[in-house]
Amino acid sequence: MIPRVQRNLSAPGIHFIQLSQLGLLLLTAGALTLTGSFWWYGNSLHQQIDDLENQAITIETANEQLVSQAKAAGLDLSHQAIRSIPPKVNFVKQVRERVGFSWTQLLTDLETAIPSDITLNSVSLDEKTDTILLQGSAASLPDLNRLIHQLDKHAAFQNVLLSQHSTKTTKEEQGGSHSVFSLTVTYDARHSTSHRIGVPTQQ
Amino acid sequence: MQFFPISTPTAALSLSEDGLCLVEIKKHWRTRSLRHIARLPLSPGVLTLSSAKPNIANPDEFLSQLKALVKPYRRPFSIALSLPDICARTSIFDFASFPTKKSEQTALVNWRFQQDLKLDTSQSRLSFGLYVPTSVRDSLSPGNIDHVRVLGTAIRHEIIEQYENMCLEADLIPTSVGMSGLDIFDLYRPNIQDILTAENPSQGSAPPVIMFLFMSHWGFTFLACQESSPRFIRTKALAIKTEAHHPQDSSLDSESEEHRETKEHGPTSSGDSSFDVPQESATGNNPYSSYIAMKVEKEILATLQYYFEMYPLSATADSPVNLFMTTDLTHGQSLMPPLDHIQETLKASGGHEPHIRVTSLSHASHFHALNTHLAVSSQEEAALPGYARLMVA
Repeated sequence: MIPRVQRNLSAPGIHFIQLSQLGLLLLTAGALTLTGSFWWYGNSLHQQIDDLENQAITIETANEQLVSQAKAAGLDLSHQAIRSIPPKVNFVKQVRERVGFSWTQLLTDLETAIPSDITLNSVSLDEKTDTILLQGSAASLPDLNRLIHQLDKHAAFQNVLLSQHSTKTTKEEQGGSHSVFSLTVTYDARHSTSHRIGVPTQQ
Repeated sequence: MQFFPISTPTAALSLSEDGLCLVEIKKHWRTRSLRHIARLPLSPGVLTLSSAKPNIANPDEFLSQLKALVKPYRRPFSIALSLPDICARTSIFDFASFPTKKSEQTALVNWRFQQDLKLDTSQSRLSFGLYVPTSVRDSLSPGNIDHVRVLGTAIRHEIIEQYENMCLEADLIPTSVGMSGLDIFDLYRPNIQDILTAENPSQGSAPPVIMFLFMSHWGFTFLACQESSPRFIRTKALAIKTEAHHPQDSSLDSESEEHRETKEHGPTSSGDSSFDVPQESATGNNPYSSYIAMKVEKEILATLQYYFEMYPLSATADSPVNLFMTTDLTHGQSLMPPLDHIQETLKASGGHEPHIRVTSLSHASHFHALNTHLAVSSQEEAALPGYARLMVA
């Protein structure tokens, strides 16, 4: 075996520079790849934008045709008219909610919640707050108390608030007395799964 | 504009005091071959080869010639630089034990350079290689670095940086720098191995001693390898120029002729055109003065004598010792001492007289193996160092 004797006396940093060049080469290749991918992605975005623009133009043309057809039919499809649609929709929704309220369901719930010795004089509904005002009379205060407990236990009624009560004696009862009360309770009609029947009955 | 200027060089620059030589090779799939040689002269005094001080005395002319030489090429590009051996100091050191850490190895080799060669290594660029002799290698466990030889080369920063700066100013990037003698030895390693195998096919390993001599315009380098590791190296500075450069030496011509006529060379590998026995000594076509020839011969003989006195062969070794020689000089083989002079010198030195076999190695095998179209020219020899640097780096 004959030994190799040649020695390389090149500058010590030359290998580092070669590595740096290799790194820069890889960096350049990576940057070119990234640039190419961005270019391809940009192209596809431009294509999508063109498609959307075409679709928008088609829709605008259809809209113009629709507006002209509506105008011919006597319909106002101006911007002002369109802007006034949401309040009308809200109004329709409110009307629909009112129409959808079931008095039958309310009375059924009251029937199940109110003991038999309680007499109701009036039931009035505040539609904005879904609050019901009950006015009536009970034979005694314990009966009134039982009424409040029953309403509290019922799933359809919450926030039972006895706003007023008094004990009255009538001539017919000859010394007997009864309690007159007035209470408010929040009614949740959605608790019930029973079929609602619209009864547009006023109080 | 080159996008990747730093790469494996395909061109090399070699230098002499007379001119610059650029050699370019062509890379094939798995082979490389010579493509082009160009040479431009330098005025006397522009370049003075030395290992002690900056070599380029006239940077302007050197640079203009270098730029003119590489003008046809698209620059910048990487280049290999082959420097004459006398620009650096090369030595072989023996170590009974050697550290394993690279930093400690470098410090130790630096210290040996300072101690043995009185060289200020803090101002030098150093490169070295480790060699373990076969006898030690066989007896040691793997990983144990004991009894190693170190071949080290040190070149002063101011010298090598001057060359590198010239290259950089000419838009050349010197990515590989080597010493010509060592590179050429490596270039001929396969050929030497083939010759040795052909001579003694039964011998599995290399013979105990191989000697190599490279002669150039600046002198010569003698390298001896023992047990598959470098054992001895000597670089001798000698201004070897043709008679055109030294007309005052013409008085010694008759002596020179006598030397040439008695010149003998050992057998070469017959049938191998790459190893030529020089014929110009017989024809008297020697361009060198007898003074130069005599001086070269004396130095070579003195080197051989010193080597065999320092590292004598065992008396039982009866096989011839091979001395391979090559040169980048035109008719440089004529400067080789005659074989009988070598034998007489070794005999006079006492001790066991080895039988020397001189084999001249020709560059033609490398230059024309794949380039039959390339015309033989006088520039070819000058391209040998650069070509070797490209092929072995």
